Amino acid sequence: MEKNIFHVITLHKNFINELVIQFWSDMRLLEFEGKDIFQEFEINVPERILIEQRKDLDEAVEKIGFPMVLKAQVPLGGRGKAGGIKIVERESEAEKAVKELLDNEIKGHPVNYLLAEEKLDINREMYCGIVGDDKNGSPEIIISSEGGINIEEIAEKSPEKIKRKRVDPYKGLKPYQCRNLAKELGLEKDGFKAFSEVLFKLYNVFEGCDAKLSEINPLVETNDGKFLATDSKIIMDDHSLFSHPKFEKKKDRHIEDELEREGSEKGVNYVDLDGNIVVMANGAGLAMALMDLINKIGYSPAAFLDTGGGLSEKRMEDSLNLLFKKAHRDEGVKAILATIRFMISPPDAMVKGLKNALQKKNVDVPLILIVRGRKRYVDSAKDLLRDTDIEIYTDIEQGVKAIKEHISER
Amino acid sequence: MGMLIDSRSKVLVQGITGRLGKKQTKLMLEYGTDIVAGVTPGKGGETIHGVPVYDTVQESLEHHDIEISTFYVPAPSVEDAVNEAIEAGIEFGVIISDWVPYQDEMKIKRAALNSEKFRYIGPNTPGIAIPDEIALGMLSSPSVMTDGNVAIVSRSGTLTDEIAEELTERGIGQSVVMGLGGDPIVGTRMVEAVEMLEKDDETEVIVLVGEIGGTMEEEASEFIKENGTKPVVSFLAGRSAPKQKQMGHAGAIVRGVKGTIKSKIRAFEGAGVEVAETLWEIPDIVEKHL
Repeated sequence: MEKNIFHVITLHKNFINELVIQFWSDMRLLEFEGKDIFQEFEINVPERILIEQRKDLDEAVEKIGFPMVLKAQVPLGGRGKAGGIKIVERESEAEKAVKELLDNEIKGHPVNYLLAEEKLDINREMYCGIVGDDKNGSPEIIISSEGGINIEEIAEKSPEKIKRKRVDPYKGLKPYQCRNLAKELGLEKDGFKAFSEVLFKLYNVFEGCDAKLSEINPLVETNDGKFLATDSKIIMDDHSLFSHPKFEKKKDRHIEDELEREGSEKGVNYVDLDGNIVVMANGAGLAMALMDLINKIGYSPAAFLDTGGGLSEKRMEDSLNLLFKKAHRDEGVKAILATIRFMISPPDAMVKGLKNALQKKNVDVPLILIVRGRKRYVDSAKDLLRDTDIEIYTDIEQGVKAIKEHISER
Repeated sequence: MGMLIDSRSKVLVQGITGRLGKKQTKLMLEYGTDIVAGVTPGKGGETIHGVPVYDTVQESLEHHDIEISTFYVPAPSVEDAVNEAIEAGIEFGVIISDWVPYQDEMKIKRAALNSEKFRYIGPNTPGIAIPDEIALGMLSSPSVMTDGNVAIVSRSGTLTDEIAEELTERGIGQSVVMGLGGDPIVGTRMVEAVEMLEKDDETEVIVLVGEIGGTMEEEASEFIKENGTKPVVSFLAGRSAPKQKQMGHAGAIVRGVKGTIKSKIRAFEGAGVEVAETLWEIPDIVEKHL
């Protein structure tokens, strides 16, 4: 089954898309960050000024003038249709638009920055993108002689306008391959040369950023024959952020919930929810399966915490502290269900972390612990926890049902 | 699962002197896995739990017959280590290391496809085990797995181990327990595992454990619909996860899950695969097919 180009392109559109979910943990750069990178790689981008507050507008007026395009910087597509792009003709209009854009959210995202740009006289819009093909172990080049906000429609109605090519990641994309691809689109003369050069540079961006995706949509040809990337999309790879410290620092910028942020800082996967039972496990799949059980017995998860593997004393302590904070903050929390599976590590570190956390526990919410896995570690965990009054189960069903009893007693 | 591994397989551990490599080598040896050598560049000449350590894979193969390598090397070195193993002639790799860069995973996949001979599971896999025969990776608890005829193929880590234990507690043994790996680019996709298990005489029932994201479940369903002869039972974790308000580092796990889980359930059901709604139901459904 061929991967449908539609899936790549619909990244613009919605979040119920498989590729979006695949990229769930990865950082999507904002347009201006992507354009700064494009500039480093010598891809032409429009004249632009970043606006963080009202006073930055003066510089934009001076440098760009009118008409001016103001674009909300949010990590998602479809912002134009959501009112995130405004074209203004004079200063009073610009001031009003800046205020409006900065004060409002776009599809639930706060707008912290605007990008002010010159308005271009557009002759045509094209598309180029590079994305990994997971089945084939190759980057895939996707290009089209038509681009812009209707790219999904083009992909659907005129698939012949879209060309794709896989390349060997060890060899990369060569300039001659870019020229061949430009020819395939039917480009000639300046367009041929400019497009093949931009494509080559975009591949360098993909490699240079260790990205999961790099895309220009649209790549614009102006009436006076210039080729410019008027939007940028780069999805970084979380596993490679260590080599891009500038972005690594900003990894959590979109997290608004205080506890979620703390979770990320402590290296655990915490998701805040509205239910009544807090669920924790040392593994995301296991934690999700437990959430399903909580639902099954008629309750709903109040939070999801995956401690990750190789559970250290500190991580166990941090995780429980986080859950106690949640129980403290949110009166709806009736119980905490923690499940630890022992696979390769003895329980000593986990038990120490648990005991440290219990000493500081300041909420009257029952903690139900299920321990499972390698028998000798489970036995040893029970032994080590004998001096605490914590409730321990070695069977998931019993543990989950104990929650019910606790809640009906209260 | 004779085509991949069995109790006679000779195993190498790359990254054997690291904390995780050392720890897991001990547990695998206890399980009965025939680990004949380890490799850590610069640590040649040492021994770990009685296993000789070499500087290079090539060198280890000069002294031992080896078909399989398990990888515990740090993430940034995995791509290099896998290529080293491929070039030295290793046939099967189990890449336990996690947090491998995406573009390196792409290269590993390409290198394996180019080699024609080399197959692998992972990265970010809990490993693979044939109960009472061989354990490669973290799936190595004798109390959790028992010999039998049910194969578990999972995209999860701890959940794989949990499901094995649920079956064992019910007296249902396993022919093989394998984790495919939790990353987008994995060596063996779910459909490839199902194809192998279709040919495996020891396997009577296949349990597929899926997750949100990707298209592996849909792909496997297509194959099962066309060519499947053995009963398949599936479980998808996270079906009750509510839609999330924001895109978070973790938040997006929950976001939009519903639609995708639905599409996977639809695909499985369309292929005649019964989908367990909760963990508890898995042994019940499996039992019906034995």
